[in-house]
Amino acid sequence: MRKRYLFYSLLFTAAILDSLVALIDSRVMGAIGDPFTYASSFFVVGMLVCVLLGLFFSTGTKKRTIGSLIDPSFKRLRFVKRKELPYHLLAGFGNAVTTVSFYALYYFFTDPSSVMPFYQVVLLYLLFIEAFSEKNAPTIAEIEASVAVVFGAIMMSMTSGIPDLTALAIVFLIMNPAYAIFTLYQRKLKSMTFGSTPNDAINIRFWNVFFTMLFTLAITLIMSPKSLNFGSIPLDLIISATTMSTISFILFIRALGISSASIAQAVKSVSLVITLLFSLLMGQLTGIESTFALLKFMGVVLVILGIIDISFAEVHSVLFIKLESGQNSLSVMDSIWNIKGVDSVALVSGEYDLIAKIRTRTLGKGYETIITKIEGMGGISSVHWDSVLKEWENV
Amino acid sequence: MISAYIMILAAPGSGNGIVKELRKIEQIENTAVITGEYDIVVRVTVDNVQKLADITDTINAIKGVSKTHTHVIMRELRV
Repeated sequence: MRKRYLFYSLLFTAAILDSLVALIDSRVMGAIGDPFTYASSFFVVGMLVCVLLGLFFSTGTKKRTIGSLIDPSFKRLRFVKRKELPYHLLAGFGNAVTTVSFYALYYFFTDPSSVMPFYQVVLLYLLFIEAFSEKNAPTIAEIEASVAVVFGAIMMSMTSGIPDLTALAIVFLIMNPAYAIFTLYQRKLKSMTFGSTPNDAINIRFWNVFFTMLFTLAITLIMSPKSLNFGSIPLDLIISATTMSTISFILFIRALGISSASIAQAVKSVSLVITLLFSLLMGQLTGIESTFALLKFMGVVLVILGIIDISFAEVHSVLFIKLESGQNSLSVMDSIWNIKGVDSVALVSGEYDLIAKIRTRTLGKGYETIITKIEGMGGISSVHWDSVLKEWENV
Repeated sequence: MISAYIMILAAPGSGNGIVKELRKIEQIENTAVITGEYDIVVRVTVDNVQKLADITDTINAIKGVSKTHTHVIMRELRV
């Protein structure tokens, strides 16, 4: 499938599943009177669902399993590898803290809807972290589009007035940082390769649920041990929610292998628009004040415009470079690698010496930021710039 | 394991057909239609040089492929 279509298909499907999970969530919260019971039971049941789904995805021929249709890198369920372990521990911890604080807000505050919109600000946390830590830092256009999505999402989710300051502190200081850690380490895991095989989304999700379950149970044991009583949980609803959530995350993790965490998260915010549509269809928005209805409409427009903008935010190019004879190819290679926007640089045999893949906002910007720098370097005899018109990828 | 970029020169009007055939080759990780001297560039990863030769033969046998040029990757830095 075309890389761009694959990316959006994965995230839009994940967003639809997320919206269905959100609808089930509100029903389960009404049935269980304790946030720790809900969070713990969600991951214990989720683990069982993951085992069954994992075994199902592992069936098929030796060359092609059912799971490989979702992620071509998937062979079968396997044990976590040693180099993955620190990332899995961090991602699991992040997920556990996010989930427990999310449910705690619903149970302990009289009006959580006034603070929940600020959950969307996590996107700005991701952008901020990527801008300083990632090689492929977000472009200005991507930041602009993501900010539009964040504000749109906040406007869309608002249903009441002044937020509670303690609840707001929980969202900004606990929930959002934990969610950012969870997402960024899932991307780190997806970027890993074992030999020449990339890590697969199904095993990443499986082990994430495992470690999240351990952390959630530990948090519950410390904060409210009596909550570990699953006698009255609505099992059918939790099984449905965890199955959809597992598949949604597998698709999301696969998308994380294609683009940055912030961009994937921004596109997935379309789930808010879908949830709003479901609520409209189910007649849940009939009593809403006209001010909030207008805010929601403006929010929808902003989110959609932001996502459209993101989808047109990139130009990919390939540079074919010849070096002057006698040059130290490794030092030129390292200098090119240090230029912002260079996704890969390979030292090759044949007609050219180096092949670099570039990601920029526009061709003009690419010329300014990359060609001028390369031309300023010594030891290069020619640079040939070819733009990528279409691209397909097995990721 | 060996990875390589294979540049492909396509006969006029045959680009889409070639891409369709390339997508069937499992060892091709990335296919890009580009402007410039060549029309398509693919990145392959195979077990050994013999398998690389098999892939280039398969690509050369695709209808519309006029010429291929293989660059074996000796060292690489990537995101």
